[in-house]
Amino acid sequence: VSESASRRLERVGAAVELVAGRTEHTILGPVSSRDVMRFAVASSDPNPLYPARTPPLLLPALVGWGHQERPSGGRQRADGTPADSSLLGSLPQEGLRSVGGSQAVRLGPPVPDQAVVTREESLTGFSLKHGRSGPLGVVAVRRVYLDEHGVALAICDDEMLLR
Amino acid sequence: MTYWTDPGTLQRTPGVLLPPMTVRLDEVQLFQFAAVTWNAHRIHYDDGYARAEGYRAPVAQMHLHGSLMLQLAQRWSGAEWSVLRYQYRVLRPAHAGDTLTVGGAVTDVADRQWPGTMSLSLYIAGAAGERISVGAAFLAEGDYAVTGI
Repeated sequence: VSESASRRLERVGAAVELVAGRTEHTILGPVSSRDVMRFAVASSDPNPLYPARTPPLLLPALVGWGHQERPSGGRQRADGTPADSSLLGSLPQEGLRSVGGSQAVRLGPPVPDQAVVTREESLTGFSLKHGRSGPLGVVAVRRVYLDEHGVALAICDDEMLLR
Repeated sequence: MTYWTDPGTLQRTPGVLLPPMTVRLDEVQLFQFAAVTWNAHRIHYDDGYARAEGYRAPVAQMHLHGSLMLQLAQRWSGAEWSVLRYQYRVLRPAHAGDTLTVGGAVTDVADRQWPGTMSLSLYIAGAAGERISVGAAFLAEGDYAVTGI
């Protein structure tokens, strides 16, 4: 099992290498007060400054917004994540379990109501580690969130763990 | 109970502990958080799938860990402070049904280079006190007086 997982992870590493340097632009669409308040409710965060001030992780937590320019066409993996032509979606993750590992965020100004947000996503690295519980792949992802004027609202560096 | 920590209790001094916050996760919250962040991974809302993957219940999203720790930072620091930089790491999964303690401490305060700033260390602990996630936040006084970008 361990060898098989290692081979799968090596394939992921090779796929990350193939797309190194590519940046994917996705229009996430307008961010509304409703989006802010729904995020606040789901986070159990009754901050009275919302929605005038946006929750810091509103954009960094977004996996998608449901109306991207390029829909996935409904294709998904057994775990429910999309299997599409996006940089992350195209990685050969079959047979692997993925979870979020860490995130580093730099925040710009609050997100204006109805700002049309674009996400620039790039895969910035891959490392294969061997721990007590077996091999572990770490995919590094950079996401930059911009408003329609090109102002950076958030810059995020995430690590996604695969095993 | 008001959202903000009583300003009279605020001590922005390195080493001061933030009053801990207790949170109980449930399936509805994990489903709602998955929905608003468009995160379709089944481990967050499908109990059977989560158990088949070896978890004992649906698993909290990494970003929910991050949001809970930031909530404590914001409640404690007050409306005049904003988060500019933040990093966190999940050490072990948290599950629906878990009761968590969110805590933190002041690690640094304004210095000559960045007046009106402070740094906090943050954590989420499980019922036995084990660390589930850890983080660090850098805050500034005023509405983004210093941009983090």
